[in-house]
Amino acid sequence: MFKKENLLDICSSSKTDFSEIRIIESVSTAIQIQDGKASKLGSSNGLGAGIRVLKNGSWGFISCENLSQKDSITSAIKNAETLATSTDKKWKEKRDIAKIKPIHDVVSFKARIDPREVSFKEKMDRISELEAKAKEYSADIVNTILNYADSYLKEIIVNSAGTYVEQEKILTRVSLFVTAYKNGVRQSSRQSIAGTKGFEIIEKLTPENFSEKVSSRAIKLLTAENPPSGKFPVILSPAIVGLFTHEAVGHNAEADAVKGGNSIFQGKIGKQIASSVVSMADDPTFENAYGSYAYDSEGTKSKKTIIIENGVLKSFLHNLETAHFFGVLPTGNARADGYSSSPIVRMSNTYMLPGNSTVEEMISKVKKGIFVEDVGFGGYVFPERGQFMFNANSSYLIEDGKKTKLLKNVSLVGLTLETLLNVEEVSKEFVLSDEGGTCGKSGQGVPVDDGGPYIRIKEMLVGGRQ
Amino acid sequence: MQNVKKNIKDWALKACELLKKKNIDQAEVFIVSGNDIGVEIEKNKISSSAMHSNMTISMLAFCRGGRGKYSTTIYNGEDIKKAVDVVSAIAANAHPDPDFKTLPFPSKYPKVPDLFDEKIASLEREKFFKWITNALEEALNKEPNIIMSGEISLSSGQGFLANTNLVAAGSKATHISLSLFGVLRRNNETGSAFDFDEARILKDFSPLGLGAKVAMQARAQLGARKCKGGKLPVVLGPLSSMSLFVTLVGACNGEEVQRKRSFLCDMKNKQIASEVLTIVDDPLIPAGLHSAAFDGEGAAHKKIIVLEKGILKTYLHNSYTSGKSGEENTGHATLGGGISATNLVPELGKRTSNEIISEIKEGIYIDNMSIHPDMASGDFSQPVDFGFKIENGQIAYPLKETMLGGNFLELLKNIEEISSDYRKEPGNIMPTIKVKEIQVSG
Repeated sequence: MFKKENLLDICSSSKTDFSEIRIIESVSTAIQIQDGKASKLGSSNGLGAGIRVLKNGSWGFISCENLSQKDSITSAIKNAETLATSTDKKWKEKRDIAKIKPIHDVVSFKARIDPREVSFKEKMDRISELEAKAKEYSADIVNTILNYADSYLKEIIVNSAGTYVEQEKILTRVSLFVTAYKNGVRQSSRQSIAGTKGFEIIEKLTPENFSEKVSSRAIKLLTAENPPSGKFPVILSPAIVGLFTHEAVGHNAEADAVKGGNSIFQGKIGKQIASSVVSMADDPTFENAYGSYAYDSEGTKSKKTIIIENGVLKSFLHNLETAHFFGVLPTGNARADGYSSSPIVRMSNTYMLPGNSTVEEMISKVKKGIFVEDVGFGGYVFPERGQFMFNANSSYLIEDGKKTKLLKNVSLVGLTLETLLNVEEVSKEFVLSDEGGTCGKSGQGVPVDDGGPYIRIKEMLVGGRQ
Repeated sequence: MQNVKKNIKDWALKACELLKKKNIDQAEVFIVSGNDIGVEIEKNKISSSAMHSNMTISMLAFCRGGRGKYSTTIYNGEDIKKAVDVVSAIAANAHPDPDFKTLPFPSKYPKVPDLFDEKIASLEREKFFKWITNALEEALNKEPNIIMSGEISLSSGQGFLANTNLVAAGSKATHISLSLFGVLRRNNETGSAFDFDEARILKDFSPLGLGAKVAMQARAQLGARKCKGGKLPVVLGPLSSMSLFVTLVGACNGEEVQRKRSFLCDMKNKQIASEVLTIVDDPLIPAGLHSAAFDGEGAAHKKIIVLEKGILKTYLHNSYTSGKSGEENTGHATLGGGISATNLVPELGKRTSNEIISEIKEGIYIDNMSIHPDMASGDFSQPVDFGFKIENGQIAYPLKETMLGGNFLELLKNIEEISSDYRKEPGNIMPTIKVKEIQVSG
């Protein structure tokens, strides 16, 4: 239906500064098992195209699903041109993109167990036990939901610079959410595992390391205490460090936010913005991680980008347009949420690099503080103000160098730059969470992952009810 | 029933006929077709213009209560046949669920005017673009150093829903919205603000002044100071109060309650909030943002009282949760089987927001912040965003490094007053709320 030569011809013959065609085909399945029943199954198929043109320095974007007509794509390019040129010149800035070296590549993806070849029944049989064991763990577990989802994506990226990239990817994710209730107290806990992998991802999960772990955490939280409020030394687990790295730091390193005046990192390249023990990277080449990809949505080959090295801000994350604006090379961070969205600057797998300490050494140095363990029900950032809030599901009080009482519902609030400078120790233990998540920006969601080592921060504002 | 494209209706009805011949108990088909257009701004300049069109079919099929779901893009009748085969096969694999009783049956739908406006569907592109550039001009006139971003978008679409119980319902809808975000930096300080205007029909869309308002709100955030902690009265402005209503009614979701995940489990007919709080969910308001004649499963919409003088009167149900509990279907199904509130209208108080604030010696005013409780426990702990200190009955200064902590049910019981004045977004009423006290950490 879509011949390489035809698509390249359509792009090269358009009268634009740049034109790009992305065609995406997807197949996905989903299973929900709740309270012992796999009674909700789903599947979807999609096929569509996202057409983007740069004309007279302005962008126009069209997405369409009906590709059955012979001239669907050529007429979409014409419509995108009209859109690009129809706005008032007074409010336009002449935009351009970095020079592209054309790439021709076909990247196939072979999962060890391709989920498209596993029947619903086989999938249900294998994951049902995980949900059942979570429920059986205690009579105080009142609800368990296990969600399983896999998707196959095939993307063709063609542009007027002569790039033709065809790439495949399979994403699989399993998540478990458990609610416990006793004596008027209700608590919940969650865990997931995700990756650019096939159904083999399930092999890592056992009732002991997954189901019972989540249920046991929810049960323990029933008798956990509320945290104290105030400023305390804190030790953050790799999961919380990952959340901080992605939300508080990564979004500020996205070059479109910097260009748009919404980042606190503006004008700080080459400057010390963090303690010298802090280094951070974004790496879409991390093997089989949920945020990994071979080429970004503009056809730029993916690569690891060091954002902060020994406390010095080294690089922003770029797409073709921001790379041109800042006079650097694109970093392969342009991503689009399917064919109906235009590529924008996004993270992939973002993490803090490991250091030299151990978590035991860190705990032993804290007289009174908080050990923040699992990610809770959310958090948010104001990148332009450099301000963040995260919630933790379970944490521990540290007293005289030892983890003591279990705490629930701990909220951490801080200023990104101040917090980065207050990092005193970084552990050698390192975990890329492999929980996977969907990062939202400008109405688009893309798969990402994060992680890091344990870190000790001099002090942070902790919110609680006490 | 509104007139929708013939092929959408024909395909939906044909799919239902084909599904009846399959070895399934019940099924539902929804076809949607639409177009939308949007213009984005970045740093005071137009950054891109985009247009989308789509035509999607979604099917649900039930076998002994087990549910199969399939969605795909469609081009012709052959695609329908294929989709019917796929969804039937998926449903056959699902575990039986005896709690599923039935999808809705046909009923008389109320008339809800002004959900579709041809003036929006056929709006000239130049006029559309002009609104966002006017808003930019306003903001820059107010604050020449402000950095504005945002989007104006317009959508029009139509859909047809049919099920094997003979429900057959079409609808058309339009929507237009302008959202703006402003950032103002001065002397190492940053003030930022967000606001919006949205409507279903053109005469309700009034973006004039929005750019200037965002610029002034961002300026008002400069000069933030810390405040001393303690238990203080808290006043929630219109956007914060609407967010509180949405969270509260979200915890009334029948599925969340039946699965024992909500902090409102076992609270029906109990006093969960102060007597000053009455909230009505009304999907029948003409031109309301969340108005429609029927819900996502084809059940007729109706106005319901969710909270009356602080007493929780009902949970929100779709066909599944209503069948499971034996309670009336409140008509809150979303497409695909979820549950959601519609337009929320609280009962108003007697005094204006200014009168309420004028009596507070020391307290906090929150302009635009959502309180995010843990939905299992109701506990919350978060910083005050877009907040101001109230001193001697007046807004004194913006706040920084200030946190609120408590439990959502305690907060509801501590609501002392609802204002008589309010912000209105089509169908939704947003007053100011005074909470007697919340724990504040400074």
